[in-house]
Amino acid sequence: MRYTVLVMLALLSAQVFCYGQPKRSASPAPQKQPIGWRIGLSFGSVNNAVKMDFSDKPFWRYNYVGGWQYPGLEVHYALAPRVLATFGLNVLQRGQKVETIQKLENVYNFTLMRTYLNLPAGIAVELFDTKLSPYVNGGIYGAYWISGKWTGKVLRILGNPFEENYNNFEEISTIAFEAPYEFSSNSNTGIKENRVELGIWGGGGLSYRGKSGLRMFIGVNATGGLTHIYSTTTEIKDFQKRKNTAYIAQAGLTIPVRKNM
Amino acid sequence: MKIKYFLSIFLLLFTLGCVKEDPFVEFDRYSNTPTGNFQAFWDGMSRRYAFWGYDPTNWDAVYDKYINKVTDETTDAELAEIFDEMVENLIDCHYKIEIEVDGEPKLIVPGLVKQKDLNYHYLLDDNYFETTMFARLSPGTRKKFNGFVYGAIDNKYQYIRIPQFNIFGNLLDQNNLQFFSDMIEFMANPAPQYKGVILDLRENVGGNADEVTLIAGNFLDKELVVGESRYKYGSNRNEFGPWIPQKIYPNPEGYNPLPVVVLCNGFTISAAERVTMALSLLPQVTVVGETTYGAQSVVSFGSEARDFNYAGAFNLPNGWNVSTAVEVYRFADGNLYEGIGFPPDVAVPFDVNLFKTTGRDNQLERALQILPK
Repeated sequence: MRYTVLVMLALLSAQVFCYGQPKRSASPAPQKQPIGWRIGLSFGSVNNAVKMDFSDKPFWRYNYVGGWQYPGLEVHYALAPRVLATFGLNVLQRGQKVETIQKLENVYNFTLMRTYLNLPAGIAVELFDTKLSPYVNGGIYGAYWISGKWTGKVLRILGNPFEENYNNFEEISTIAFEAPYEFSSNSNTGIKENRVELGIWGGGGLSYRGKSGLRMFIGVNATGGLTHIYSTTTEIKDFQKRKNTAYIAQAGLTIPVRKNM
Repeated sequence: MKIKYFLSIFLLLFTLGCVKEDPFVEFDRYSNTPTGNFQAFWDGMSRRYAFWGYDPTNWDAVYDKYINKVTDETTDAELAEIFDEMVENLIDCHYKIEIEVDGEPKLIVPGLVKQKDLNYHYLLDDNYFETTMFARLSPGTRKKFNGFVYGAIDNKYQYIRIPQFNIFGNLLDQNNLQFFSDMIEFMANPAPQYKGVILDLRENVGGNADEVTLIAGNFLDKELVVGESRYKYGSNRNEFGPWIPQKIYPNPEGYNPLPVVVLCNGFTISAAERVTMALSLLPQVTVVGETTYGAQSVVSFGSEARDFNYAGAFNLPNGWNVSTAVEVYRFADGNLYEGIGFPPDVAVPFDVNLFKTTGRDNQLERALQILPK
């Protein structure tokens, strides 16, 4: 969440700059985007949630949790001066956090940070033929769940009465944990992990055309998993489906593969 | 201006996307009818039973088998019979359903718990330990209180009998503080003449999990990982968190390095099993007696357990109370002993005939043989 706020502030600053300088952003002569392949990189911050139904447990909720999209490859093809086909290859984190709330706040906190190899593909359309232009984009993605890491806090089972200030009659004593996610560890429940995820994404941002065909962009995408994180291997009657929902604040740049195209 | 509108809408949507809170919703979905209670029971078990993945019961098949046997004309007694069959193969040995049929309170328990009804355990009651066993201890060393007994056998071996782990409960009365302080001191700082320790956990019904360290910590010189626990965080049957290491800690005010025999039997239960299993990891400890009860996973964190823990107890609309473990405990060797019980290093079945005819306690005798002369 903190990362996203920072990126939002950066985005806001860019807007303020944009609002404050309307003539400067509109006045330069349109930069013709060369048709053809472009290559570059992007990175970002991910704000993710796996939505869960806690209607039977009033003191629990799911929450969004921040992760990273590590610097990854961007390959774009400029189909027209303002239209790009975009492809990416990156590693990003999709977190899942559930926790207890209200009077039991901070007693339980289970955060599972899943790391995915992510392959987004889509179309980006710049709205104006100006140096600084908003754009909208969208597409599909495929992702492969590489690994996972648990962190969090649970109620302590074996307290230590030899500790200073130990109070047996204190209701709540917690212990922090950190552990790798074990794949298929729960397969004998009739539920298995789906490590391949497919989904859609869309959003927009600002792009800037610089010298020598350089294109920089900053924006936010909402992504939604279409496939479930877990599925049943048998017909489990009460099985609740879980999907990833994420917001990715992203920045990147690309350059033409060949100049003078 | 277009840019301005676009960005404003964009920023607004982004900000809305970050709203975090879920509404607070109460659990209230089943009616107080036989079919409503059946559904609530099946659903509650599906969500809150901590042993899915280990338990042999196919809970979906159980649903299919029994759903058509319950109608709104089903009586409480018939519903109780159906529940009894449904839970027959569960491995949670803390498991029970407290019910009331025709004004009579009753318990429904799994088949494994029904099998635990050993026929000798009444012989080793508190009275035996407070009279016969107490008389055997050397005068000047022996003390007793509410089934707790300690002292020296032949001025050579320390003997400590713990009937249940309710020491902190006893300390609510400050008058009991001296007894328990002396007992811990006796365990933690043995006099030089002693050659070994017998920790008698037979007929120990368990209790407060924190007291595992209070007792076992006297035989540790450093902290010890005694296993791992797993908690549920969601309603699906696979929604368990990671295995979290469970540790016990040494008593900073003393360390007993003497050889230890832990005496256990089929009624060494819950926290008493956790102490037995923890101490069995120490090289100087030998576990003697019988396989323990098989209920090592903690059943409650306290009065608010059902409010915040995802596994564990729940109520049915008719007021019947289902009590089940809130975690799954896996021993340091990677195995689950829930329902099975922890086996002794030296198996010595209790000789009922010998005890009845001569008063001799063959398990205690074997413990004394194992300790150094």
